[in-house]
Amino acid sequence: MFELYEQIAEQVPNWNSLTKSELCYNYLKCKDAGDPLADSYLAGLLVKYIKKIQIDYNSQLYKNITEEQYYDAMIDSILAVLHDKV
Amino acid sequence: MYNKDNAPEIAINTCLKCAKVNLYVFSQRDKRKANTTALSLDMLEENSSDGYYLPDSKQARLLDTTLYDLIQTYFLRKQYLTAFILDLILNDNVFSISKNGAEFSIKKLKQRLMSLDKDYCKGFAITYGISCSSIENAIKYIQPNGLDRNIDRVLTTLKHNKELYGWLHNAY
Repeated sequence: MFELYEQIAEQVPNWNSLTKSELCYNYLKCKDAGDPLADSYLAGLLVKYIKKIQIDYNSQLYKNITEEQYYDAMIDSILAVLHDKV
Repeated sequence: MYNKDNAPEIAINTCLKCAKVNLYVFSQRDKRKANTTALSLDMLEENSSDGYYLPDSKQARLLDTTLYDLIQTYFLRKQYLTAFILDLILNDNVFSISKNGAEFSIKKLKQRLMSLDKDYCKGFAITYGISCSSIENAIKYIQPNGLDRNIDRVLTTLKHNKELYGWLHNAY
């Protein structure tokens, strides 16, 4: 999953140097304009967050939750913010 | 958060924190529930709670336990075929999909009856509290010769079983 997101993000040459907020703004701008690069900005944002999510999950606090469930819940939260569902 | 350049990041971080707490609470739910019920004798039966109980094999059934008791009785009366047929109808897939939806299939039932294995025995033993070895012995009585006729006989008997009919009638 991580590698796939990275591949998608690499369609934007400087994605790694952008901040998370800049990636969000660019994603929303491209999404509103129907630009296919929107997916790349979103993937870039998720890659940046996945590293953080991975560290959190490995803290061993969540014994009854699978890694997949944890990632899904976290990614859903990110998408909920971006899609104005919070 | 307003008028800040990093507002999206703040919003996302807040939501992630919230999701993390929710997941942690969810992951500890069993422990929390077990502790509270053990602490107070007054609260053995709560009027309202967060609605979470550890799964109980009998309570988790979709149907009343009457039918399970009936299957157990059939088995103990050595009416093995009837017990297996009822169990397969209740717990297994003996339905085929047609244009009108799912339909009971005698062909599938026959196939399942002829392929009862050790896993099935284990499941049956746990569900009805019968020893695995007696189930394995009972399966030996199911022979392909005349099975069609026997299945017909059992299904006709079940159709005219007043106890079963009465139970189904009250249940729905």
